[in-house]
Formats: sequence, structure tokens, C-alpha cells
Amino acid sequence: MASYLARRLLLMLPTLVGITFLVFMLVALSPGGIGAGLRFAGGQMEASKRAQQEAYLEDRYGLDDPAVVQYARWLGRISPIKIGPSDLVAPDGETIRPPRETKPPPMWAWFAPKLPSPAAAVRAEGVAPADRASAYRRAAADYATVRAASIAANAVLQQALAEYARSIGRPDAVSPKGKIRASRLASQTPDRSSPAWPAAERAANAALAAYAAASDARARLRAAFDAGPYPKSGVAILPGVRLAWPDLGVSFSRGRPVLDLIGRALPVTLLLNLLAFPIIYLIAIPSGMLAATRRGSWFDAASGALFVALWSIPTVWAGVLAIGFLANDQYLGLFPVTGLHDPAAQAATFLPSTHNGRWQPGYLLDTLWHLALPVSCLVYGGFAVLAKQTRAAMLDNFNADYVRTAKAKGVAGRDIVIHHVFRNSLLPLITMFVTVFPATLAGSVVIESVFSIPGMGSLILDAINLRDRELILANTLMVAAVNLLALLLADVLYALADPRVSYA
Amino acid sequence: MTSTTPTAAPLRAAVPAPAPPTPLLRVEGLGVSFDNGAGPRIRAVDGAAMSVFPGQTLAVVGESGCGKSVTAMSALQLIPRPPGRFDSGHIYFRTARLGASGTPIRADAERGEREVDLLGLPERDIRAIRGNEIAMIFQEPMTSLNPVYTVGDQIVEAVLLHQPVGPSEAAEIARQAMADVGIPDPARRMRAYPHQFSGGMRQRVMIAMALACRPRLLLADEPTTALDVTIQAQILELLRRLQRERGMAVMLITHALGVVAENADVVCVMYAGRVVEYAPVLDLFDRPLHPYTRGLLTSIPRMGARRDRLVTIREVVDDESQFTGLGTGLRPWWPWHDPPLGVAGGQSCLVEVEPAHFVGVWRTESAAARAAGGAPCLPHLAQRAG
Amino acid sequence: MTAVPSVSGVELARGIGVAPARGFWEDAWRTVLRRPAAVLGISWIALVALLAIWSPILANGHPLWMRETLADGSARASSPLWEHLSAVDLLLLALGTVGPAWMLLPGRRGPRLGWLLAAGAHAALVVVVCAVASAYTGQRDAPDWARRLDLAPWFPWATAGVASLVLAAGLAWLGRVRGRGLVALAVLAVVVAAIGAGRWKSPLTRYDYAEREAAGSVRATYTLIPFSPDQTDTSMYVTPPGARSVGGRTHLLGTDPYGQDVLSQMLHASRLSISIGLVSTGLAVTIGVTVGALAGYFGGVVDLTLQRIIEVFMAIPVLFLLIVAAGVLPPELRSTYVMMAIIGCVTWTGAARFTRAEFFKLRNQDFVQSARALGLPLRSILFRHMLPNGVTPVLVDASFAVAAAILAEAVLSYLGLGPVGQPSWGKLLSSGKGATGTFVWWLAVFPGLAIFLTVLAYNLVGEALRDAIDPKLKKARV
Ligand SMILES: Nc1ncnc2c1ncn2[C@@H]1O[C@H](COP(=O)(O)OP(=O)(O)OP(=O)(O)O)[C@@H](O)[C@H]1O
Ligand SMILES: [Mg+2]
Repeated sequence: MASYLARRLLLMLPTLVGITFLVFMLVALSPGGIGAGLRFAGGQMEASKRAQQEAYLEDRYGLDDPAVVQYARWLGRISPIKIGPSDLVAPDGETIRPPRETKPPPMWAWFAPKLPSPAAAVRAEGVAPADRASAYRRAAADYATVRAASIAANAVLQQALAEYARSIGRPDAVSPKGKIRASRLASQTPDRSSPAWPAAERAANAALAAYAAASDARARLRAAFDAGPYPKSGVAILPGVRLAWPDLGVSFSRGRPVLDLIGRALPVTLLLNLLAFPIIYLIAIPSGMLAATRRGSWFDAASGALFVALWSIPTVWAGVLAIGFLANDQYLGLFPVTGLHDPAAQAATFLPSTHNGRWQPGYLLDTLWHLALPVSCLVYGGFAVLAKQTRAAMLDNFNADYVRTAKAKGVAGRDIVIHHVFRNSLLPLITMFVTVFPATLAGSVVIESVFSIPGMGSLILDAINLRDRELILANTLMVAAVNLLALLLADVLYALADPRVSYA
Repeated sequence: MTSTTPTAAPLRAAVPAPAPPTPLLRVEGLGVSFDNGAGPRIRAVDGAAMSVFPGQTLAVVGESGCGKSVTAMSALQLIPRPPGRFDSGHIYFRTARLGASGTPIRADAERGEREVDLLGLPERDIRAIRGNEIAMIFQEPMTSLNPVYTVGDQIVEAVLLHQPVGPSEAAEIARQAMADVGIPDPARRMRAYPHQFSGGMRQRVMIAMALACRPRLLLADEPTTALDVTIQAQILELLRRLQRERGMAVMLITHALGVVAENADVVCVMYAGRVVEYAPVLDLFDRPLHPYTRGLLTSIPRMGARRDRLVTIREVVDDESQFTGLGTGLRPWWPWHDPPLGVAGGQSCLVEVEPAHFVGVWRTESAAARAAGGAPCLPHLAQRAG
Repeated sequence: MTAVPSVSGVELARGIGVAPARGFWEDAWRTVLRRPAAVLGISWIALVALLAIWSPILANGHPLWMRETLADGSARASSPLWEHLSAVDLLLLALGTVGPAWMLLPGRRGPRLGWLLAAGAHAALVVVVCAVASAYTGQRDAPDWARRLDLAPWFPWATAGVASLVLAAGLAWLGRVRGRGLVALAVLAVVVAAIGAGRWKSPLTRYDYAEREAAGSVRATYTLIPFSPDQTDTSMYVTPPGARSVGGRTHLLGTDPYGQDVLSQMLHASRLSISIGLVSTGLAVTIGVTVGALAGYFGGVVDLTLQRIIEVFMAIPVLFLLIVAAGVLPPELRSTYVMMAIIGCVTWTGAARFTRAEFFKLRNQDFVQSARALGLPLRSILFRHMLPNGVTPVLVDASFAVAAAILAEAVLSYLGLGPVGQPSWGKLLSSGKGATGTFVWWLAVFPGLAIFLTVLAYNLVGEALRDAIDPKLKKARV
């Protein structure tokens, strides 16, 4: 069993890579691409200011690389096995990576024979460890400033070059985003007579100077980093190979670590599902059993019809009607309209209590009160499939030979139903989990957005609307992992329930 | 309801049993039919009659679909109803028990014996009989055991149902039952699941389960059809041994006439839901009286008799001359023939054409006069070496 | 023994009393028709389909008939409704009236159904070509040559004519049409081309009839529901059912936040609901069956690769993928067709799994082996010999898939990711939500009910079909 589990878990990895890649590419190749949400945030701004701002953001989040590179980088960060220089962990838990290179100015070869090389770095040995941290922080702040300046200067140069390209009649060398396509111009000798050339040259000189400053600062920062101001992350298992926690990165749109965001949202979604599942199974299976034992009775017909009808009710319709008629003050106003808790309940006790002589529902009841409608909307659609399957499996088994054997032994009717028929009908029911679970998981995403519950649903919708790379990838990863683990659980349960299947 | 108990002189190689002359099980005029959706109802059994005496083996033979299994399953009310339905007849069983519900099951004052009609027993009473007084083993050993329980659990379930013992004693009884049917290392094999057994072993498990409560009658529905020949022989030998040791009656349903010859005391030949011939085994093999039985017997190859080809049943029953010679007014019943004049509704009856030899004939007036009322009773035991 | 006719088991074994054999699908269909629920479902779907065809005539803001007094005092009669019907409307009307009538004639229906499907496919393709060409040449920043074409009077006729003829020729070649069939195809091609070219661009729509009537310059007769779905009325935002508009006309089911008539939108949306389910399911089945057939037939490496792809698609819930796929598209790209394609491309895995399993079983059966031994081409083995035997479970499930696609459209519309530019039940429903603001019951109840009933209808038909076919499949496998 253990080796089976290990194999299954290993096989999950390529699937997880596949699905995150698929989703990432869908987003990256769509109009706007990754990070489109960031750019819209710029609002009304002067064109060059805006270009600098965008260049800064692109550089900060690595958006100017091809999509595949961005994905590969993400994979490298979430991989628990790290190769190359190890990261450091700051006391506040933030992962610190070696400083990145600064990009040289575009088309620099037109303006300078060679790139300025960084000054020799100061060696940091002999500095007390406590001072190393503060030295690192200073160097990091320095580098951030000059790097931003260099990026901005590069953006200005980009615009000047684009202007130049248009002036010499090569608009094809300018990308739709206003960037210069270096490869289309590289082979040319610059036309210094163009009216746009002096501006370009000025911008280039500024950019080169900024670049020189940035690469100096980077060398200093690198030295401070190598001095080891903070403990290294993870543990080394081989020279150059370390084992460390996966890093899901920081969300663009919310500016917080993705892990925090998911850490808040996932439990809410799981809570919804964990409440929903027992209800679905506890209602669907007994009624399916009853329908099978009383085949053709009014109960059989009525439960079948009812469940098909419930199955056909669109979740959003049920949600809208429930909110409208039951929760909204316009009508009955019996239930809370949105959210998971009453603001007041946060401070209240967990269990119901009397406070100052007044009865307080407490945190638990309040949460259940908020969850009543969402969970109802989540469960009703699952009954039909499961009850129908139970009924069909039971009927199949009623005619099985071993049931005849049991009858011939003198086993009572109810014992046959429960001991023999139902026990065997369990197997297809476990298989049904494979269809019911993803449907309910997806249903909860919809329900959350209908009832404004801050779970994975709203996180996913936000992530997609804002093209937040980190959040999209992490959400996909989480949902897929939960889903695949649930399916694995179903397989394991099946093996436990059916002695004929063994994963030894 | 009276049975003709033959007092005639013993036949060759067959003697009346010293056992009580009343049968353990009597099937009288049993009719069972099934709903067939859009098609016409299927009369699976249509007036069958037979009886089994203690210690006796009654073989029921006949082609596929003639109603053998349905007859046996009716005795335990195992026919699914609907689509099945008991149209007519009774199955009487002699039992010393009170009904499980505490009331005495119908006592036959005339005979001073308790006899119950199995077809009419309420659910609780028939459950007390099933597996306890009458056990049944089925044709398909591969699917007749529940795949999700160990074989030990399945035998123990039967024991716990019918015997006043605790779980550990029941396990011991089950182990003993498995040892009795020749399963090696029963204590360990009890914890195995059915899929871990071979077909022959599974059938042994079925027999162990059936016999764990020491029933007085075993209904064995083609217990060896699904098995290969050597295993077949072993299983039949096992059944014979257990029957000898326990004095149990057996109703053995089979297609194989060789099996009949070796195991049966009395043979009941069925066709289309009715009994066409009913006689002690040697009698039947020596002097088959119904053309269908003759066809059955000639269609099997015999050692020594060199023939270019086998005679089919078809050739025998298509031969008009085969249907004469039973005596005036007696014409063998055959559903593919038009009934003789004066026979209402295609009715047939069993007539003791020769002493201790019954044949199914059209119910003409003279046949009706000689018809066996109720079930044919032949308490014979074949004398067999061993 | 019993009064009802009966047979004995032996007779049964000889084939006496056995019901006469009928075709697999014919038998299944009869079984389905015996279930009242399924009949109700089929009737509802047929009703929605009828409404989908007739909606432009049933609900239209343009008068059916109008008498206009011109400035010079002369009168002019016209039918604005007719003038505003689009090519799709006309083709649907033509096929939707001629088709059923033709099918109801006695005689063999199979070939006629084939003809109708072919005609439908032909018309649809021509309409799509015309729509694409007209949209491209008519766009604001079109290149000069396109703009010149757009103004040329012959261009619509040339485009529609060539497209129609080429497609008809293709059909003739594919279906091996001969003789009178060719004539029929030619007539079809000409009619479709004429409709496509005649309705090249929809004329400008202005619903100012009420004002002009009030001014006394026109007298107009309207159809049953005198509102178009896109007809906004600034004085009628969110009015309840029964509200009367300026011209004294009643909004039977009220209006939405744009002042558009709810009933008219619902009628016109029935077209989307019928088509989105069928088209996306058709696409999903096509992809799924192809992938599943290849995986199941070849096994080995092909199977392993395709299985991994299927697994990747199944790693997250379908709805999640749908949200991603629809969410990354800007609204202007989320046309109905794109939505159908998205739903189809995301939901094919189920069909692929079924087909794969079936083909796996079929692969080693004798008839396939013998087809292979005969040296038949792969295409023939896969699709002519194996597919009819392996596709049944997929088709049984297709009915549920249609229902699921309609539900998916509703959910996406609710999340604001639905098709743009056409009324849809889901969009109407989402405008009735009352999480924060006010809850507008008529916007929630009526469209929701329509979705519910349609989904229920498909599910009922699906259940009946499955109950009819599953036992047969089981019996066939024993
Ligand atoms: N549950 C049932 N439903 C419908 N028909 C049944 C049912 N059980 C038996 N039958 C019909 O009753 C007839 C007799 O069946 P039965 O099983 O007694 O035959 P059999 O003599 O045991 O044949 P075989 O040698 O093949 O076991 C058959 O034609 C069968 O179709
Ligand atoms: Mg049988």
C-alpha cells in the first residue's frame, strides 16, 4: 500500500505541472496577457511616466520575460528541491534570493563600445554577523533605488528609440506595446542624421550611466548577500542541492504572500465542502436504498422525480432566490445576506452564552447561521446522481447469486439488504465520489461568489480578472491538489472496501 | 393428498427402503410462472410432482429451461416474486419443529405427523427452514459467494443464524465443516476471500456452508456443472460420503446422466415444466417408457457400442411409433403433439404404468382413472457397491 | 393453468413467445416514449426550439405593418419587421417551417433527415462566412482595400454566392449526390446565397415608432410582443410585470435595468439556450470520441500520452477551467460562438473516457480483427466498424452534457463571464441578484424558471434514454 501511495503521489506531479502550465498559458496567451490588471491600475497618467511605471512593474514581477520562462521560474520556486546558490530566510520569514541582474539599456552597442563593468566589490569578511544583516539591508535598499532608476532610464530610451525607428521609416521595429524590437535594428548602422537621434543619444547616455550605477550596487549587494547575513533556507542534501519549502510568491494584486491568502480562503471552501458531503451522502444513500428495496413504490417514483428536479435547478438561481426571498430585508429577511460571520460575532464567545442578561448566539451558531443557505444550495444538486447510483447498484446486487445464497441460508431480509446488498453496492458509490467531488468543489466556488463568502471562489475570480500570475498558479495548484488527493482517497477507500483489489 | 406407496415386490437391484414410508418432501402439482414483460407469461413449472425420502437421492434431469431449478428454489421460496408467482400445487415437508413464530406449523392429525406446506409458510417460518432443515447449493460456485466477506464469515453467518452458539463456537463449527469437505488447512483458509479460491474449492465452501447446520434435505442444483471432470468426481464423492454419514436426503439436479447413474436412487425426468417419467434409477435406465427418456438415453454415447453416429433426441421423439405401447388409453404426454381427443386443456397426469414406474401421459379418461393422486412416492434405495 | 396466454420454458428456449427483434435505437426510442416524464421533456425542448425559430416574429419592436405619411402628403406602406429580419432569422424560419413539415410526410425519414441536416449545416456555414466577411470589411480601422470592397454593391453577392456554391459542391462530393439531388442542392445554394447577400448588413435600428405614432405621421400594427430584446426604454428601468410603456404597450414580464422587455429577451434567448447546449456538446463529443477512439484503439504509447492529457484536464473541476478560459477573454471577444467553443473544448474528457473504454473492449473482438485482417483502412475500421458499436454510452450521456452546458452558461453569465451581444437567460438572471442592492424578483424568477425547465427536460430525456439503453448494453455484454 505504501509503495502504491508513493507511486500515485509521484504520478500526481506531472499532472499538476500539466494543469498549471495549461492554465498559465491560457492566461498568458490571452489578449492582455499576464499582469494586465497591473497595467490598468496605472489610470490616467502622462505617457512617459506611465511607460516608466510599467517598466518598473514588469521588471519587478519579471513580466518582460517570455511566458514559458516565467512559468519555469515559478516551477523553480515551488520546487522543494533547489539547485544553485541557496536562498536566505529573513527573521520575518521572507525568502531572500540572490540579487537579480539589471538589464542593459536596449541597443547599447550603438552608443558605447562596451558595457560598464561593476567596480570590485567590497569583501564583507570580518564584519560582525549582526552588522551583516544591517549592511545587507542597506545594500538592498540602495540597489532597489538605482535599479529602479536604471529601469526608468531604459524605458525612456525605449521610447526615444521607438521615435527614432519611426523617423527612419521602420515602424515594424516597434512592437504594439511601443517597445523596440532590437533584433530588427541590430544589424543596421545607426542613421545619425535622423532628427530623433540626438534625443535617443541623450537618453542612451543617461541609461548607460544608470546601468553602471546599478551594476555597481548589485555587486555590493551580492557581496553582502554572500556574506550570509541571514540563515540559509532549507537543508543541504548534496553539494549545491538543497531541500526547502516551496515558495508560492507574493500576489501582485493584493501585495501579500499567496500562501497567506490561500491559507485564509482554502479552509472556508473546505469547510463548505466538508459540511456538504456528509449531508449529501446521508440523504442520498438511504433514500436510494429505500427506493431500491421498494422498487416501483410511490417513494421510489417520488424521490427519483424530486432528485432529478433538484439536480436541474441552476445553483445560481437557487442562490439568487434564496438570498432574495429568504435573506433580503425586502421579503422574509430570515438569514444573513453575505459573508461568513457577523462582525459582532468575532468578539463573541465560541458557544452560545448570555451576556448582560441577553442571549448571544456565539461564534459557532453565527457561522452555521451564515452557512445555512450556502450549504443548502451546495448540497441539493448532489442527491440525484448518488441516489440513482445507489438504487441501481442495490438493484443489481439484489439479483446477484450470492444474495440468493444468503437467502438460502435463512438470512433475514433486512440483514440481506444491509449486510450483503449494501456492502457490495458501496463499491460503485465510492467510485461516484470521483464525479461528485469535483462538481461540489466547483459548485462551492459559485456559491461563494453568490453569497459573497471570502473563499477560494472569490480569490480565483479576482486572480483571473486581474491576471495575477502568482495567485492564478497557486490557486490552480491548490484546487488540483485537493481534487487529486480526494480522488486518491477514493481509490484507497475502494481498495479497503473491496478485498479483490489490492495495491500491495 | 394420498400417495400411492408401492407395496409391490422388490424390483431387480432396488429394494423398498426400511426407512419410514412417508416422504420427507412431497411436491404436488406445482405450477410456477413468470411475468415476461411484453411477452406471454412463462410457465416455468406446470404441475410437477415428486417426492424425496430420508437418506434417498432423487435425481432431477431434463434439458435446460425445463424448470428444474425453479422447482428446487420454490421449496425454499427463493423464487423472486414478482416476476414469479406460485400458480398451483404444494410442497410438503415433514418437520419436527414448531414454527419460528412459536405457533405449531400445521399438524396432519390423520398421519400423526407434522407436515408443512413450504409454499405457504410466512417469511419468518421459511427462514427457520432455510439453511437449517433444507439447504441448497447452486450451479455457479464463482458468483454464489459474497466477494466482500471471508468464507469463514459466510459459514459462521449460517451457523449463528440457526444454532444457539456464540461466535467462537460458531467459528469452530465452521472450521470443522470446512475440514469435513476436505479443504486443507481450514483454520487459515477461513480467513481467505472467495476470489482466492479455485472453482472446485469454492463449491466445497458452498457445500460446507450448506451442511454446517446439518440439514435433513440438501437441494443440489447442478453442483458440478461448472467444474472440470476430476473435480466433479471429487465433489460428488464428497456428497455421497456426507450423505451416507448423516442420512441426509438429496435432491440432485443435473444434466449428466452418468452422474445420475452413479448417484441417484430415484430419477425424475422433466420436460417443459412437467414430469414425464419417474422411476428407480436402474429401472429407468433399463426400461425407459417415455419416448423423451428413450431419446435422452440413446443420445449418450456408450462404451463398447460402435456406431457411426449418435442418435439425437429429435430422431426418437419425432418417431410416431415410439408413442404407442403403453396400453390402451395411455399415450405419453408430449407438448409438441396435439392432445388426443377428449383431453381438456392439454392436461397430463402421472400414471404408474408398471409397478414403481410412473410415466407422464395425456389425461384421457382411462389415464385419469389410474392417475397417481398427489406425488409419486418411491422409497427405493439403489443397492450400490461401496 | 392461467387464463393469459403463456409459454413454457422449453418453448421459450426454442424461440416461441419471444418478442420480435427491433433495431437497437428504435427499441430504445420506443421505451423512452413510454415514459410520460420523457415525453414532457421532449415536448418542452420542442417548444423552446419552436420559440427559438419564431422569436423574431413573435417578439419584435418593429411594426409588422406600417403606414407612413410622408412629408409631401403621400402615403407609404412597409413592413419594418420583415426588413429587419437577419439572414439567420430568415434561414431558421425557412428550415424550421419546411423541415418539420417535410419530415411529417409519410415514407422513409432517414434520408430526409440527412438532407435537412446537410441543408442546415450548409446554411450555417454560409451565414458564418458572410458574417465574418461583413464584419471584417465593415470594421472601423479596416485596410483600404477592405473598405472599398465594403462599399462595392457586388461584393455581398459575390461572397455569399461563391461561399454557397463551393460549400454545396463540397456537400455533393461528400454525400455522393447525383441526379435530382444535384438540382435540389443547386436550388438550396441559390436560395441561401440570396438570403445571405440580401441580408448582408442589418439596417440601422431605431425604435422611434411610438414617437412618430404620437406625432401622427405613422400608423403601425405590431406583433404579439411589441418589443425587441435590444430595445431600451429610458423611462422604464426595472419596472414590474404588467407595467405599461409610453405607447400604452404592456411589458408582460416587466423590464430589466436597461429598460428592455424581459419577455422579449427571454424569447430571443431561447435560441442561445438551444444552440449553446447542442453545439458545445457536439463539439465535446467530436473531440472526445476522436481522442478516446485513438487512445483505445492504439493503446501503448498513444494511449499513455492521451491518458496523461485527459488526466491533466480532469485534474481540476470543469467549471474552474471554464471560468479561467472565459475569464481571460475580454468581453468583446466573448461572442456566442466563442463561448460554445470554450465549453466544448473544456468538457470533452468524459466522452473521451467512455469511448476509450469501449474501444479497448472492442479492439480485440472478432469483427474488428477480421476488418483488420481484410486490410481495411484505419479510418474505416475506427469510424465505420467500431464507432457505431462504441459510441452508445457517449450518446446516452450527451443528453446530460447538453443540460450541463446550459447550466454552465448560466453560471458563467452570472459571474459576468457569459456571452456578450445576445440576450441570455443567465444574463437576465444575474441582473436580478440581490446580494447587495435590491432583489428584482421578476428578473430572477422567470429566466431562472426557463433555465430550470430546459435543463430538467434534457435530464428527464437523458434518464429515460439511459434506463432504456443501459440494460440492453449490460445484456449485450454478458
Ligand atoms: N427470475 C426469473 N424470471 C423470469 N423467468 C425465469 C426466472 N427464473 C426462471 N425463469 C424461466 O423459467 C424457465 C425455467 O428455468 P429453470 O432455471 O428452472 O431451468 P433449468 O431447468 O434449471 O435449466 P438449466 O438446466 O439451464 O439450469 C426458464 O425458461 C426461465 O426463463
Ligand atoms: Mg438451473
